[in-house]
Amino acid sequence: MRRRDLRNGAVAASVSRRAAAALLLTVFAGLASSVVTPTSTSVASSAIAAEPAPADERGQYIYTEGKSRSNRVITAVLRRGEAPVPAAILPCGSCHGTDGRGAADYSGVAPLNINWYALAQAGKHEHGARLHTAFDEQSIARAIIDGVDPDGNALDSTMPRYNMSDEDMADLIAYLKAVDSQADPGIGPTSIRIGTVLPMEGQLAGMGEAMRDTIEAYFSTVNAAGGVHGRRLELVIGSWGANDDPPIWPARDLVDKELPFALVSGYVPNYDAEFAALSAEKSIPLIGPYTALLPLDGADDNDEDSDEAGNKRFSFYAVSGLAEEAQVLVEAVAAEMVPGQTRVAVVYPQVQSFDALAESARDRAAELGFRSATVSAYWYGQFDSAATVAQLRDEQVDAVVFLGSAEELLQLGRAAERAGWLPYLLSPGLLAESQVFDLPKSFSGRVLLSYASLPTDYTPEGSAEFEKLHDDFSFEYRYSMAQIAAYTSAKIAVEGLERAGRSLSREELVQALEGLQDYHPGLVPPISFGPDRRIGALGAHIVRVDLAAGRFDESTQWIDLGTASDAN
Amino acid sequence: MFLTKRLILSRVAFATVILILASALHANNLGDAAAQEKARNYFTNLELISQDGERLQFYDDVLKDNVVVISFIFTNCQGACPLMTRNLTMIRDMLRESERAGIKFVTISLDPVRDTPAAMKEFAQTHDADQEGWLFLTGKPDNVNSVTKLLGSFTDDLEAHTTMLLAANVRNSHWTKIPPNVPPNGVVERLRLLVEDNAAP
Repeated sequence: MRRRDLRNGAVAASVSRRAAAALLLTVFAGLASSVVTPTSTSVASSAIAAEPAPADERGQYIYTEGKSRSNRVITAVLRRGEAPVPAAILPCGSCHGTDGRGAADYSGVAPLNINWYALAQAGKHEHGARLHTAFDEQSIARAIIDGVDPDGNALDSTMPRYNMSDEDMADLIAYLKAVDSQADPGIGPTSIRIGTVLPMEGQLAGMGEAMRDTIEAYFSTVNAAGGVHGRRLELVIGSWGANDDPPIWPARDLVDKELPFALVSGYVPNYDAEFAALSAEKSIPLIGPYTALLPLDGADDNDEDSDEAGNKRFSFYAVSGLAEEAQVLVEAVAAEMVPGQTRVAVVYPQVQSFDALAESARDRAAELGFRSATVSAYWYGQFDSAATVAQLRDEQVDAVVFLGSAEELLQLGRAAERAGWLPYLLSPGLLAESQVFDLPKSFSGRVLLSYASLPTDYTPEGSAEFEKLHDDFSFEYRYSMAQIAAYTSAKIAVEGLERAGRSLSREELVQALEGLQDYHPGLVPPISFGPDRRIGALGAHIVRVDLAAGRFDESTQWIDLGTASDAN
Repeated sequence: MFLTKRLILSRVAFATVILILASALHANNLGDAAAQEKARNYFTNLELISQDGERLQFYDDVLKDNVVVISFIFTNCQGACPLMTRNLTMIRDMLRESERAGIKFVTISLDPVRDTPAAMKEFAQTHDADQEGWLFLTGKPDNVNSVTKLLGSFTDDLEAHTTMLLAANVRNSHWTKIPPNVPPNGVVERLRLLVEDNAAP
C-alpha cells in the first residue's frame, strides 16, 4: 500500500515514518538504547575465498622478476638476431607495470594493457590502428615466445621474445589472468565484494532487511545484465542489533575479515563519524551511508591518524544531512526577507553534534549579513517554550530556525501565538513534519520545512526501475525512505564502478566518483561530487506549509549550497 | 605476619603504591558484604565483553575476590602496548603454576570504538596472551571509558596513554600502581605479596 508514495506527488507522503523514526535514533542519541538479547556481534556473509592459487604466485614471480621459482631458465631476446639474455633483465612487469595496465610511456614506446580482460576481447587490445581477434591461452603463449598476435602479425619490436618452459608459461598465464586484481581487496577476476552494515537483528531488523533486500535486488539486476565490467557484485553484511554492542564493531570486523572492496549504504547510528574514520583508516570507499548527521567536519577528531592528508576522501554521501539543511533554512530566510533588516535565531537541543550544526547555521547567517544571528540551546527533553518565546521576542527575532522535535516546535508555535509574536518558523521536515499541521493557523505561510530529497525528485525512469525491483524481488516496502537511500547508494556505487573501468582500484573508484556531475540516480536530486565535494545533492528543498488549507504548497524551491564559496 | 607483609608491600613500592580506593582503606573493618557492596558501588558492574564474547559484570565477574593485574592497550598501538603485553606474558611465565591460577590478568581497551572483541582476540593471540585466566576486555564505549576512568587510566590521547600497571588484591582492597620501568621479576615479587596477602588472617 505504501507504494502509493512513489507515484504520489504529494509532498506529505514523502517521509516514511518508520524509516524517519529510525533515522531520528541517529539524531537523538538518548533514544538509541534499544535492543537486548545477548549474543555476540556477528558478521553475516557469503564469504568467497580470495586466496591466490599457487600458480598465480609462481606466475607473479615470473612476471615481476623474470625468474622461475623452479629455477628453470627463462631467457629473453631483446632484439632480433641478438643472443638471448636472462629474462630477469627485462621482466614483463618492468614495462607493463605491476598492475598489468602498461606504463603510459616507456622510453618512447607505450607498453600495452595486458590485463586478461583486455587481451581476451576481440578488438579491445589495440596495436595502433590494428585490432585483432581475442587472445586465448595458446595465442598469448605464442605472443610471448614468438612475438605474434592471434592473427599472425608481428608485435612491436620493443616487446622481447621470451623463452620458458611450458610449466612456467602456464604459471605466467595464470598470473596474467589475475594481475589486475592484485591491488585492492575484494576484487576477483569475476567478482567485486561490496560490504554494508545493517541491523539484521533486534528492533530495527525489519529496516535492515528491507535495506539489504533493496541493495541485493539492485545488484541482482546488475549481475543479470553481465555485472560491472564482467564482475558480479556480491554483498557481505556486517550485522548488528542482537545486543547493544556498538554498531561500528561489525563494520570494523567486516572490513577486517571479509575484505570488501567498498562499503555501500549501511546504517550505523551514533557512529557516523567512526564509520567515516574507518573508511579513512582503511582507505576503503564508503558510499552513501544512511544518516542525517554527516560527519564531514571533525570526522576523525579522535583518530590518531588525523594528520594524514586526504583521509576523508573515501567517504561519499548522497544527500544532505541536518547540518546542510539548517544552512539551507537560513538561506530560505534570506530569500524571504532582507537579511540586513532581519534577526534570525537558531534554537536547538544539546544532543550529539547539534552544537556544531547550529554553529554552521549561524555562520551561514553571518555570511549572509543578517542584522543579528544568535543560537539558543536547551537541554534535550527540557524545552521551555514560554521562556524561549520570551527571550526571542525580547531580541525581536524575526525568524527561528528550529532543530528540536515536532512536539517542541508545536509548543514553540503555541507559546509564540499566545505572546502575540509570529516569527517565521523553519525546521527540517525530518524533525518537524509529523505535527506541523497542528501549528496555530496564524503561522500560515510563515512555516517552511527543508527536505534533502522529495518525491518531486523522482524521474520516471527512477520510479519505474524502483517499482520493477519491488515487483521482481517482492521486497518489503515499509521503510521507503531507508530503501530509497539504500537504492540510491547502490546506484551511485555501480555508476562509480562502471566509470572506474575494468582495471579497478579503490583509488580509481574514488576518482570516478569525484568525476560524477549531475548524475541522476532516479529518486533523489542529481548527484555531483568533486575533489572537495563529498555530498552529492548538496542543498535541500524548501516547502511552505499552508496551515489554513492543511497541506503543503505545491511549489517547492531547491536551494543549492554547492555554488557557495565554502561548499562543504 | 599480616602486618609485616603490609610493611614490606608499602616499603617495596614506597612512592608508587597508591591506594586509589581511599574509601576502601578501612574495608577490612567493615563486614565482608558491606565492603563488597562498597567496592561494587565504586567499581560498578558495567558490562564489559571478553575476547571470547563473554559478557562480564566488571566488579562481580572480573574483580571480586581476585588478585588482578590490570593493563591498558589499544590494538592499533604501534608503541608501548605490544611491549607491555610481552612483559606481561614474561611475568606470567615467571609465576609458578599454582600462583598463576590465583592471579587474574586483565587487559582493558583504551579504544573501544575500534577494538571489537574479535580485534582483542587477535591482539591476544598475536602476543601469545590468549590464555586461560587472561581477559582482554572491551565493550560499549561508555562502559569501557567509565571503567578506565575509574581506574585512572582514561585518555583522550591514545599515543600518550598510560603504561602503568595496576595490581590489586581486591578482597583486601590493596591496590598498587606498578610503573613501566619495574622489571618483570620485580612485578612478580609484588604479585606474590598480593597473593600471600590473601592467605593472611
